[in-house]
Amino acid sequence: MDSLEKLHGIISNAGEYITGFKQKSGKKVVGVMHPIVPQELIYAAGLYPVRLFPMKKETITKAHESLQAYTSSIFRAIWDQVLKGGFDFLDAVVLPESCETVTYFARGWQYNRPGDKVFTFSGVRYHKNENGEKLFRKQSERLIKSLEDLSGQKVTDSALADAIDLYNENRRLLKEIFAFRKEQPPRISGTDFFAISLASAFLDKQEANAVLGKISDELRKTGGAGDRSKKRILLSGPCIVDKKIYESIESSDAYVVADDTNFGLRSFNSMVDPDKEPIAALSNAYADVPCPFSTSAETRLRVLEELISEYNVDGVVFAIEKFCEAETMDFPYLEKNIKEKLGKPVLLLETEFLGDLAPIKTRIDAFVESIQ
Amino acid sequence: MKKLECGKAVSGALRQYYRDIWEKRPLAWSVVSSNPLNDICNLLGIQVAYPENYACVCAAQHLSEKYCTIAESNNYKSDLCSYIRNNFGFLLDQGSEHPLGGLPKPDVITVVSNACLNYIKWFDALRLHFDVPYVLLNTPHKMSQDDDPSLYVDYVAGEIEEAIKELEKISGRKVTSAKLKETAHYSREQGKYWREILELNKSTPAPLNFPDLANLIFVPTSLSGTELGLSLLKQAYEEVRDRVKNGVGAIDDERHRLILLNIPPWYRLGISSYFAEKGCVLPFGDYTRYVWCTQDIDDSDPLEHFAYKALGMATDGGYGSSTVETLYGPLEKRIEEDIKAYNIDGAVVQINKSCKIMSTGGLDIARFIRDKMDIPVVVLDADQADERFYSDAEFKQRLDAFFDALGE
Repeated sequence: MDSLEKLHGIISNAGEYITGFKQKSGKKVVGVMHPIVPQELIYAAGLYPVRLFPMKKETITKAHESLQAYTSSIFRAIWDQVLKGGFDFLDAVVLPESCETVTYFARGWQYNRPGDKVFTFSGVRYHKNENGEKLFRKQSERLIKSLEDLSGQKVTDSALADAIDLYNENRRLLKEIFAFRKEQPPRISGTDFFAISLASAFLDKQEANAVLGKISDELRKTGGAGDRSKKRILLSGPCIVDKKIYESIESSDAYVVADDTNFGLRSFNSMVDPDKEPIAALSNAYADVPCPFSTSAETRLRVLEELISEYNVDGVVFAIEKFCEAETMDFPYLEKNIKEKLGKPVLLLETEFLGDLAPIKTRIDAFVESIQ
Repeated sequence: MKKLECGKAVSGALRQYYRDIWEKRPLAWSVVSSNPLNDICNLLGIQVAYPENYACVCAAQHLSEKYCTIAESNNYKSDLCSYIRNNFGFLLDQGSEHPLGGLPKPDVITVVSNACLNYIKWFDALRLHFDVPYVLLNTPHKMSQDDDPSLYVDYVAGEIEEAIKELEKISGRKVTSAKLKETAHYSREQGKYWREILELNKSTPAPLNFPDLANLIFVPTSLSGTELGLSLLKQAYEEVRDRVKNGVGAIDDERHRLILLNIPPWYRLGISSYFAEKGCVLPFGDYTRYVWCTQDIDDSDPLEHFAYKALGMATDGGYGSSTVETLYGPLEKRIEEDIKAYNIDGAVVQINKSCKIMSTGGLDIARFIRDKMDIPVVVLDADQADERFYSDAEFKQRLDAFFDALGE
């Protein structure tokens, strides 16, 4: 499929695409960490939001001056590439109170690069009540003001409504394509879906929706082709940004038929109610993002249970980045319940940015082979 | 090193506290950090046990190897905070003898997010482990200079009101406004005496060394908002004041005054004797001065007092908690002021794998102290409660080089 091949190319050169779109559109670029920042606000201010991830496969060298080796390697790699000029296309970043490294290093970014525009979004991790909605509103209003100052454009009600519609359409398309993996064999591989979801994290949303629509149409017309006897794997983990994990699983006797990751399901699972007052609707939707730092392990288990049942999963692979404490902390509870309650085997892989995948591949092969 | 006389009263209170958590109900497991839920539990007659304190006890008794290994073999990986691993190791080690008899099963889990983000996950895991009610007080962290506490005080006060309702159900008692006011008053006064003690420690010789302060911090944290806590701190304050009046120092021959950043290795607190042998006293550190948010917070509106306390952010030119405000900007200014006020001539910056919140930015702060304050700095790597990777010889080797740089 041409569109898919194009996306695989784009995710290898994300910086090039972003710079190109910035020039073409004249929009300023705002980098965003994690799926809990309401990007609709950024879009509605006439800006171009992109999710941050290490866009080059470069060894981390410079970041260690200010970030210890036992912080998230994904964030360290981002910071390293910021210091080396790899993110010079950014006009601002939004860092939310989220994982340990991002939360504690938000001030570090401001300290080390005082010229950068760093907007933050505090305290809205547990806002699942009326009081929390007020806090979300207050934080959104602050962010909107900073964004308006950056773009020189007001966030009007209609611009916000349009942004919500555009983002909902993106979520709807991603959900639709995600669901093509329910069948055996799935109509789309996990590796291809990874490329789609990662590309959606930085493509302009209109362009993304056009490509996703085309892919979805094509998938609707074609049945899945492949081995029906392959095992069906659910992959769960935080910021998985390397398709090699997917390739490692899918080059074994298995398909990745569902994924619960920061660039995957967590980024598009929660639809924003278009009929509600916009900020209240955003607050509701973002409260449901099943990221470990913003929700209980119990809630995450419910999400995983649904995926396991709906996608007829044979085994669950957790690919948890080293030093991602929130994920690590949830793992014992999730593993115990998935094994004991659902009777599904679980494999834990510890990953690191540019880490050696050879030993991981051996473990995946053994795991897939062991699934009855 | 000279021990405080009031230390006996504090130890007595600590022993009583451990008796109470076994004998009285209901019992909460909670977080020590500037946590108004503890004040409210104390008010409602809910006993509070602190797994993190208990982890320090386990580490001090050199049980971290045992407990961390058990936790790790149950998938609580070695990357996690060693308090968490000590705690789950203890919980999963059924049938063994534990220090102080262990901790009894809780009736409720309470947690505040101002401590660190791991704590929320830790206490969520405890809630699921024990299957008991859970009271979470969410407090935003200060992530940028314009994160003013006034932005959040209404939200946090609202969260505290909700928490009070939950805790009332658990205790079967009511929080009256008179009681809440009295508790807020004790909380404010305790902060005042703690600050006074730290002020007195600016004297030369320093009347207290780091271990004295680390022991005393039990009072404003674990006995938070109680009359007993206030009376113990008053006693401590008066004794420290007398030491200053009589020129009595915590160590015999004070030649250098050092700042200590980060949580000390609880299994090797005796290292302060090694400092003392070299004439080095540690009159303050971020753990004793910055973490607990003991700034003066008006108590005329008790709910607001507790909301500001929970937020831990600096108010009215005061200083908040470094765990909430993180390690940059204001902390530099504060360290600069304190290094001058305490007449500090060397810095011990510890990097502690378990505590990201106190370690992220530590290298920047070390550089700042060395370059801008022009005093010797030693950066040490030691975990707070996992002894397995600690090497006394290595620690001392680095310290010896540091002592040489300090001079006689």
